[in-house]
Amino acid sequence: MKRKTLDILLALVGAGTFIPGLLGILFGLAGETYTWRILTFGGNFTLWRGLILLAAGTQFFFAVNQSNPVQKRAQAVLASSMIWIIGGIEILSTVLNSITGGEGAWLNTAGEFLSHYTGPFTPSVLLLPISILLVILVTSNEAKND
Amino acid sequence: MKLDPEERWRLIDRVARETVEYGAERSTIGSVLAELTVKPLTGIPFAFAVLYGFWGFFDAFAGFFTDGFFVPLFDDHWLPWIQEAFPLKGSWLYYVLVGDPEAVNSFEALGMLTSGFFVAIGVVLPAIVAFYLVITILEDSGYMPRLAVLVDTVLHKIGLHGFAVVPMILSLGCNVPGVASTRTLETKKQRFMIMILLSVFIPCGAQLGVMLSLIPEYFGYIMIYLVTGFFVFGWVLNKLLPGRSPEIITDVPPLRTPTIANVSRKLWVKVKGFFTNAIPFVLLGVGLVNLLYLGGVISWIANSLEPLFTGWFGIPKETVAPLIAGFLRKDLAVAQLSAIDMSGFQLITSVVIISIYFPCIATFSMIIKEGRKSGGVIRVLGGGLLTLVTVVFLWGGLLHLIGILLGVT
Repeated sequence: MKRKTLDILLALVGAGTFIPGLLGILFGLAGETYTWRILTFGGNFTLWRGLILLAAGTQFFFAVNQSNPVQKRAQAVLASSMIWIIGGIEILSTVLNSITGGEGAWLNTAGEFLSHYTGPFTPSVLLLPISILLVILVTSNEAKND
Repeated sequence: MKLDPEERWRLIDRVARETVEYGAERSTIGSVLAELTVKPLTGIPFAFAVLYGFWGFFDAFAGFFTDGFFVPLFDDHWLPWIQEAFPLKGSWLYYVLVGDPEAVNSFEALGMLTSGFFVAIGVVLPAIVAFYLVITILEDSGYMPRLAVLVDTVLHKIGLHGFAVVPMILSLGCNVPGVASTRTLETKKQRFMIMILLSVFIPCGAQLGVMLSLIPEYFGYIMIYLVTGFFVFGWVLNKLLPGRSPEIITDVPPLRTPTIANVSRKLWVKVKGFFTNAIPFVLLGVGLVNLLYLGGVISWIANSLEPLFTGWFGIPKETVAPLIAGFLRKDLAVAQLSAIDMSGFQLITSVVIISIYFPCIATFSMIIKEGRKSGGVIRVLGGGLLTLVTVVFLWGGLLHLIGILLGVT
């Protein structure tokens, strides 16, 4: 992949991470929940998740400015792993919450189990597949260069 | 063969020439990533994400097992069965072992076989497994020394070093593994300091969860006050306590992928240690509290402390009961506080007092156990109690003073 193409990609993912991070901080400070189609801002730790996304977005921007290609890719991997941590925890919580039943039942019914997966989702969950693809792209590029 | 220093250096040079290969080091994504995690600009935000992940995993995992399975198991099956099956109802032995025969949940029963088992198995065990699992993964991945390097400068200000971050993080989930992990620190002074500081100023995961759900609007203020107290009293303790706070030189290994075999083996050793060492202490602690209740000691304490609560701390006398409950489980004590009629500032003060007044019974039992290796049980408990009383008086009183000055009490 050409350097310029990679820079554009990193800048786009950076903006896509930075802006939801900023919105997360604002909604977290206001204590508000906001949902638009499949995207939602709200719940516990919205402010903290927003701060981490904002920091990850900033790391993507740092990566764009890096002249050393290895530094650039490593910084992109670091930023992506920050998204994976918060996105991964969100998914784990959803999976575990979907298993246990309410009053008098050990396990949820099939319908209630599936209802946990219909969304809406937080930005980190939606950014998860994009950041995984990005990391596959930058690491496979390193392997080719070897 | 005896060599003089000159000959010894020549021999070293010859061995080095024949065995060491020199060449330019080639950077890879992995090696650069390892460097980025110790540089403050990139490492601190990443550390923040890791700590969030740590706590988030604890919250999801421990909540899943405790609320999803152990609460129904103990409350709906174990408690009613043992209340009926245990003989000698009405005797002191029944009260100590089973507790209140009319209790409808395992926490309120207050018996060794009811509340004792529930706290040890249903509450602390999932927390222990969750935290040791993450800690083992962080250790085996090579990230833990990086975290220690990042926070080393800050912790040196209070006589601790970077590796003190391990018990601090553990305590955010449960103070019991936090206290257990203080044995990794070098000196008795450091072990004593961190044991006291974390059991006083670091609220456990259950307590944090209850605070967030019941009083989210005050959570930030409470945490700022507690963290400030941690560093203020850490600094004071460092100045007052005799003993060394040595520098550490640590090897920062490369980042590696942890293996399932190693992680599971370490986890098993740690959980086995909890079963054999900590659970008997927790059960004995519950028994001791019951005996104190039976002897009227607890109600005497509650009546004696009433003027202190209303006068010095500026909180209603009704908060004495949750404080006593807090000795068993602080999260429930916070929940009980939210039902008492008081102002917002009084609620903040009460929650701070609940956090700092005394460690919960499980932590207290672990301090006794670990105290043996940190200068002796009597010395640790005596010094610990003295520090606790001072902290509660000064930090609780200061908060009341702040309230008076702001006109919000």
